[in-house]
Amino acid sequence: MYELFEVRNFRCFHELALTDLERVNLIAGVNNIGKTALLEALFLHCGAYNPELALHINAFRGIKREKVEFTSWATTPWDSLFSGFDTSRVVELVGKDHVTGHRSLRLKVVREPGELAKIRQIIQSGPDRAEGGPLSSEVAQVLELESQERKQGRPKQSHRYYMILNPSGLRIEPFPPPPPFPASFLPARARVPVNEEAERFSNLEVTGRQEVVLKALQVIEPRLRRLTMVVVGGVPMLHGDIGLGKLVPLPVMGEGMARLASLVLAIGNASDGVVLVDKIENGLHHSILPKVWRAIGEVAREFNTQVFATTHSLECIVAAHRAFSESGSYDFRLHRLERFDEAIHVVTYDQEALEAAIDIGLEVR
Amino acid sequence: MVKIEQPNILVVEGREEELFFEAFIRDLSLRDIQIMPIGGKERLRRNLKALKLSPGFARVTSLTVVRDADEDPKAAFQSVRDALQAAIRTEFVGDSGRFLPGRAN
Repeated sequence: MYELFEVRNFRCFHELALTDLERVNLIAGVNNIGKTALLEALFLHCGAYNPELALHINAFRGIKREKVEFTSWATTPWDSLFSGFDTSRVVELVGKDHVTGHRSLRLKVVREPGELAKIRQIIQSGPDRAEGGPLSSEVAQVLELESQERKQGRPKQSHRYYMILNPSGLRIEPFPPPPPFPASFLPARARVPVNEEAERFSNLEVTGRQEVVLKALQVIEPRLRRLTMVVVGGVPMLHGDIGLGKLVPLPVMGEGMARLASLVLAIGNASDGVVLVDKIENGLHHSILPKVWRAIGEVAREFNTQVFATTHSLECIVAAHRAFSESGSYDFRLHRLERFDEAIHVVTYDQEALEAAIDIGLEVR
Repeated sequence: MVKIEQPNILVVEGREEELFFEAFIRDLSLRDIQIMPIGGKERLRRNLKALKLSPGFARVTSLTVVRDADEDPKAAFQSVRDALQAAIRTEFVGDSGRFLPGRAN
């Protein structure tokens, strides 16, 4: 679980510090202030060693590379990660979490011939000897990811990984280890594929914890008695029994059911990790939001998962505040991104401040 | 939903004070002043803290608090000072009620 998180030179942020993090963190702010970018920064940091995630976060926004030019002056698929599209800067993401301690991640574009030659040497002397071939700015685009970890009482560890894009395709050198904890990103637009949802449900079934999903979904559909996997056309799909004498595919039950199922399955599959949700209120009617937040809080506590979600909705913020106030443990924070003094800042509300703002009708978004 | 829209904020307790100061400001032809009723004196510190976090507070250049003096004007003034100091963390000059320009954070 993150205690703090800092972002430098990433997307729209020159420098941003997020402190006072809780189990569930809701991020508000006007359009184009960087709410999604903040989730993306967290996702990269959670991935820790994998530079390819830089392309994944672009894909979440619908940006896919069709054609890449291989010259030293050409734009790269990762240019938009750097604030002001200035690839001479270094993106730095720093976090302190309970698993890896204090950890920083630096991203930079490698273009200098000398540096490229060094990378080539590193790759070829490593255990996973890559094929030869030229590695110059004329034929390859290279993104370097440097990960540094500092746990209390242990020496600092540093590792470098490279994403190399050349005419023959994309490769990561050296092969990155798995991330230190699970993390998943639920984008605002795309739905989680049904087979992926099925796998997440099966993972919970293996450990006998699938009832968590049933209980959460009963918030929206009290008639729901049972959830089970049914293979339709070769594709496993989650179905529910609502007493119709026939199982109903979950997506057919409505967008709210599908959305809540995605949320709970993601949280249940990221035990001791992080779930990032863009526009969490999507598909959920305001009247059920307090119950949805209660369910999210319960599942997040049970699986020890930290949640970061964005919203534009005041109803969503008020519902979260009410739900966590009534839960007996207010493990929730509202963070608003706001631009002033020519920079983006974070303003964080604790329980007392948010209660007061809601009471007297002050804007909080 | 109350939004900060002016650089000068006049904090009052309730609707009556709001109406009075609206008329007063109109009569004096003053501009750039926003009257914000943020509830009674019992919750002044808490509510000022929320106001300080509101969008646009960083652009506020002056903040005035008006409250009933009740039977003890000195104590009332002190309680406003205490609330401002706790919530806004500003510095005061003497007992006149003037205070130094403060930062939002």
